[in-house]
Amino acid sequence: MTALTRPGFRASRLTRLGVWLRNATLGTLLTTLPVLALLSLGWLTRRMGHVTRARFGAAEQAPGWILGPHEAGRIARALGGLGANIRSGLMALTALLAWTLPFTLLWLGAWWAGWENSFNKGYEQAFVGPSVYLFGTLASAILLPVLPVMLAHLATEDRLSAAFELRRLRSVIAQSGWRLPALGALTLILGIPFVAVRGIITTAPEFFPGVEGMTPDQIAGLQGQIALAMAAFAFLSLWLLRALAARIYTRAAPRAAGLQPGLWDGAQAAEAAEPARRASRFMATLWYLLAMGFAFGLGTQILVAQFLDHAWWRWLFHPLLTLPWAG
Amino acid sequence: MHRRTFTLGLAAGLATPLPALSQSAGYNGPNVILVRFGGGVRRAETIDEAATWAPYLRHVLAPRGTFIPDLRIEKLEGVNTSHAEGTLNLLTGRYLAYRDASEFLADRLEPTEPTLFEYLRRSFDLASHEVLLINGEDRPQEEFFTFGAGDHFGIDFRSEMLSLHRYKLYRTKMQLAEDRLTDEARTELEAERIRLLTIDPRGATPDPSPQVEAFWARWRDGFGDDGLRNPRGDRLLTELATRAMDELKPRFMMVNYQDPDYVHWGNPTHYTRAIAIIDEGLQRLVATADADPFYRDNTIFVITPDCGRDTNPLANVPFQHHFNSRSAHEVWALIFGPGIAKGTIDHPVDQSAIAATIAAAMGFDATRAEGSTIEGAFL
Repeated sequence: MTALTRPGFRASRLTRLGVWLRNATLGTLLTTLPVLALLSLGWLTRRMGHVTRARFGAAEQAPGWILGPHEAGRIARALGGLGANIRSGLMALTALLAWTLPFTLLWLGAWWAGWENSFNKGYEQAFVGPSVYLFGTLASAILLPVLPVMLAHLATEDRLSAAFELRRLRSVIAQSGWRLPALGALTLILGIPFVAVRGIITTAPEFFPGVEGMTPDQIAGLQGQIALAMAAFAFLSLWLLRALAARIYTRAAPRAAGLQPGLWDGAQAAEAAEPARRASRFMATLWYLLAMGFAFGLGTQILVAQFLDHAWWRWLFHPLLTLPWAG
Repeated sequence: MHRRTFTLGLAAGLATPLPALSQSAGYNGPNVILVRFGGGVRRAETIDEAATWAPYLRHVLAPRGTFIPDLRIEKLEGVNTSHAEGTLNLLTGRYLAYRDASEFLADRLEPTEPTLFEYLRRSFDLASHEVLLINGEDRPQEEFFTFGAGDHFGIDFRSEMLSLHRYKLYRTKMQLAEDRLTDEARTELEAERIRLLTIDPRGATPDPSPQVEAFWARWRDGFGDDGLRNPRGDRLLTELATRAMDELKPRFMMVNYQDPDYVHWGNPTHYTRAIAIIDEGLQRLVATADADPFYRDNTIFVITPDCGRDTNPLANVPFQHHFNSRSAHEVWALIFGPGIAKGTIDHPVDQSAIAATIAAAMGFDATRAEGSTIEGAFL
């Protein structure tokens, strides 16, 4: 990141709209392909960091897609943004996979046990699949509410190790209150179209019989349109969710830092530490349990979508959880 | 229908003289083996000459008889392209000849019109073990197609069922009768038996005939009690069917293959492999018939799917489901054996015609079937 003095002006509405449209278009296009979606993830992560650090008092140039900071050298100026997006994307994806693989791998294993059981009639081990699935879902309900806070902290600190600073994350979560389950509820709502599109695709031949008679070119065209629409939805949803997560973090982290300055020593949020009351343990637990309930709903959405139209990698990559790619 | 209602109806039925019984005559017609190429299959992977995963069916058996590449499940309001529905369409010769008797997490249909088993045994003096339904080990909902619980011929004309469910009923009965069980083992076994018995909520599953009991005794001698040594999946059905042909000599037998449906898990190979396994099963069934004087030159095979599958070019697995799409209504049939013409029927045939055609081949009248005999199928 490059620190700048705070600009004394604000761009016009039209300019901001133009920038928004440019970002939305580029983000959407990049999100259509899994490899390029890494750049979207990187840009979204950098943008989170930009928002939180700006709230904490730092002034820096907004992240670009390709170009680097104005004051950098020629090559860094030409490709610095791209490099930073790749770096941030890899860092965020690594952290997200580290946090999600413990339960997504269980889901994948449960699925494997299920089909093995069904196809080879291994009914002696029939309990394995459902048990592993339920265990994975429980783990997902516990871990998923942490993800937005973890990402915001990682983006703010701009280092991978931040994703595993559990005590800091816990103190932010305690200060987040109702906002965390609210974000979970919104995530659940925004997840519905991903299930719905699988359902529409799966039942398309029944409701749109013409699909069965389409030529390969027509099918490819339709698939392209669906992929583009889902990429747009995935990118814009994530943009909104990440912005809200950044907002929650910028409110909760300074309070957490004010309560436990030693714990937050050296962190960006410490720059904006503010006095706060210790959160009620009962209420914090209650809000987290509620967030877990919404996370359980998201896990159920993934299961339903997988039954409708299965692909093994979808257990590991949900656009709202890891890589912003709708597949 | 509740158990009490059913039991009362059954008692009333048994108390009423059945004129049909007195009309029964010995059966001298051909044997019929109806193979449900089940679990829902598409034409593309089964009867397409170039792409078939069932080469024996397509290249060896199809030229032996009447091949119907365009059998269709009619698109009627309320008709679903699923396995139980398709099987009952085949067995009753009607659409929607069933009622939903599902309970929570246990879908189940009951025939409300006579099945081919009932027609046959009403028309001819055949023992229950001579009319057989061979069922898979994990579709207990299809254990109830042996007779309908409506106001028709019913339980007296049922077929016998051979399935692992029935074997487990036999095994638990025999084990409980043996006196070497510990108290704990006995309690566990009793619980298992109660669970098995309550799968049929009609509460009136009749005991198997002595011949079927003897069949299970031999099965137990061969494969033991643990259930791990006998063939599994659709190979189990082939084993049950060929053993039944050897030991019970059924005159009419339906084999309910099912495993292509496991493509619901999303693995295309589940589907194609299962089709190949059914194809191997067909080879064994036909070889068994050809090797046995009881069946040789006296057996008609009818092979047909219960339903098709989707052709969904947008999905990762285009044939993962059978959601009432056009392709799910498109099936096929093959009939071969003595008295059956050789050739391909080049016009669409309705699925309800299968029951009427089997009835005509065996010489009885499926009075409540809607379909008519397939034109050109008989010499």
